[in-house]
Amino acid sequence: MKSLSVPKDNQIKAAYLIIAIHTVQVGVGIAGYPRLVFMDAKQDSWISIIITGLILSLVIACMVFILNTYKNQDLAGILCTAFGNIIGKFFSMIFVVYFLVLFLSVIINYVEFVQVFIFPKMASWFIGLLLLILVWYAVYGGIRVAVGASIVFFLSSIWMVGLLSKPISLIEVRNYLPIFSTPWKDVLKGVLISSYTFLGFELLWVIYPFIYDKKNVAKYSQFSILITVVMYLFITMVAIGYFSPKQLEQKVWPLLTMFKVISFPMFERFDILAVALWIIVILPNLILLAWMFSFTCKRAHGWKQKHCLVGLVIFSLGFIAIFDDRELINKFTDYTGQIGLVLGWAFPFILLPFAIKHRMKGKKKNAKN
Amino acid sequence: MQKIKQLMLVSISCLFFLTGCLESNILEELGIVTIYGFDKAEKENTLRATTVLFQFNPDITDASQIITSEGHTFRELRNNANKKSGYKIVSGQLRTVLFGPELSKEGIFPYLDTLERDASISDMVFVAMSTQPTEEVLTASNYEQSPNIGTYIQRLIDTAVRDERLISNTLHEFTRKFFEVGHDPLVPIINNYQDKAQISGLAVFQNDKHVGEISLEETFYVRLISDKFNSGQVEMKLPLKVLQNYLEEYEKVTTDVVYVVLDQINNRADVELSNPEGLQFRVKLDIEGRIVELSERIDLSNKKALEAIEKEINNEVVENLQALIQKSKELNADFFGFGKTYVATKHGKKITEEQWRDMYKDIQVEIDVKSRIRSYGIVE
Repeated sequence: MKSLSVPKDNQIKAAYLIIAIHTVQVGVGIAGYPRLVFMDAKQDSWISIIITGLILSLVIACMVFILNTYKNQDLAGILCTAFGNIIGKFFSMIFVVYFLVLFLSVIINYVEFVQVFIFPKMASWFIGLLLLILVWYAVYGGIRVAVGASIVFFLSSIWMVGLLSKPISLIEVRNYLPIFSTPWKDVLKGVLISSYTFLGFELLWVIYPFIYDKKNVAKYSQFSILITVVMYLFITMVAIGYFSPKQLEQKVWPLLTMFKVISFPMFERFDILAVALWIIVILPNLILLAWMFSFTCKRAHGWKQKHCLVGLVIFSLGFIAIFDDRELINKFTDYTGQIGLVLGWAFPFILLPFAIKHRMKGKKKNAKN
Repeated sequence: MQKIKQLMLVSISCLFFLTGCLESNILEELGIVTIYGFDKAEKENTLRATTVLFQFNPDITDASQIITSEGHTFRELRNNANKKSGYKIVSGQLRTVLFGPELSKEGIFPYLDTLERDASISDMVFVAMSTQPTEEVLTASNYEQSPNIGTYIQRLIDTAVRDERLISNTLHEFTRKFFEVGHDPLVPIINNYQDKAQISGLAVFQNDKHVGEISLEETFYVRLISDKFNSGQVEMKLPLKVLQNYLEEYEKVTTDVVYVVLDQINNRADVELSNPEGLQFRVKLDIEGRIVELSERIDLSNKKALEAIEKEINNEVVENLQALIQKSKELNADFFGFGKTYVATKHGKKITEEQWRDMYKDIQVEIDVKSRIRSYGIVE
């Protein structure tokens, strides 16, 4: 496969990665995450999160190493160079499906939020349609629009973290004690369960060729996941302090429940607004995932990106209409997490030996010349 | 290209216009519930609910009405209530749930659980109980200038909580304590007294069951340990004997006690488990306050007089606290949250609710109070 040469006016600065990667990671997962990690790691959840962050940092370093080795290639290109055309295409196909699964898991989870909190009678496909139109519109504009949208949405939603000040005022400090009392096995289980929530960093695979100053990629992508880890840590700690242990284990979406105590003179019930505003959090998620999907699809098959995108929209609509049962959605999300464990977390390490081989070859060539 | 742009325009305008097609709730057509009262009905396993409805309509002067209905579940109660009202009953503005005496004795959590599951109900709903049938409380006709009795009761509780006379007990706080090992909730008691609802004390709950009562005066001492005061107020009774020497000359003594009112109280409580095996706790209390009232004139410019008062206050606080702890041990309801401290300490073992109940009777609490009087009004 040819390596990509992206025209200059379609390139983006590496600094945008800080927000782009962060916004793909933070989405629906965060709403239920504190509970999931708490069920395993109890009050020592923070250890789990920090360990997850360290592993993630390693994964990102590995990805950047591989990407630097193959210069100007995206995931599909790397796979073809490493495994040959046929196997490479097969693997890219798997990734295309994986991106699709990620996309679907985000959208069905959000549709469920809306139905539970605001409009119980609203049809799933209709909420899906409203979201998909926006996604389609943004991805249609290309990568610069997609990244731009994610930055705008990030800036317009980050203030919601400040709303947690009310739950923070109700924190019971004794909930964090005693520390270091959870067995290591459970802490590691907490790490494992975190895999789904942190997914999305795969964006780096696809976006890399579009980056203008590639030497800064490592720095900014690490910085981006640092923000994500700090945010998850913060939200989880607030949730643990705010709820009593058994209570937290019962809440499906602790984060959204925490918004239930916030009330302003003009907004009695902020939680309803929060769910509506959550659309701003998940839109960059959907936009960037849809872009990843359609772009990798184009690279792997040579189809037009537009057509891939339309295909995605139509398929998702059908999918949303079928998947509207809590049980099914939970299962789907669990499977997504498990697939992500292999394709997101482990895959860079599988590719690593190939990249090292490639680098050695390149060096030998240089030495001969 | 042109076509796609047109299509985009159409679909994006759809986003704006289609939003109007969703289910709508017209404010004038809603009966907004501000308070529910739950009681046991005569039939077995049935509940009787008293629903206070409120309508937003500028044309109606008396916009509130009270409906009683019976049923087995919360939904059925609501549907049955809706048989008697032309307004659609919605509970998104619910402010208080009131439980009758029998239900409180049996346990109220099953009913709160249904409320908690409902995403439309806020977590800031106050949970309260009454020792009279709730219908009696909610039909009280004097509710000041409030639009309806539900709003009045909410205001009643809210003001008391903000004044630090009451321990806040919202739906969230109640369920949190219910699920916590070693912490029991206190629930305000609202009773009808001479046709007006009022707070008559606090109910001590063992998990979700009503087991006893404490007075509003005693609440102060619970708060001293389990909560924080920013500007609390308390009246204390001190023996006059030790203060005899500091009385102003013109004062003629008729009693042997002196009443002191402190306000602007700040506190810092440090509860620690000093001996895990012996279940000994040590509470360190720092109280800071201002004297605003004295029943006898005492020369407060004299340092020694102040010290004597502080010392008496310390004794008084310790005495009252020990009596309250004794009471809570007798009721076997840990509303101070000593169990929580036990669980949070590393030496303490992981224990279940039942184990703590067995242990709670044997705890010993050592209280160490330091009080400080900051200033004493505008006259020396």
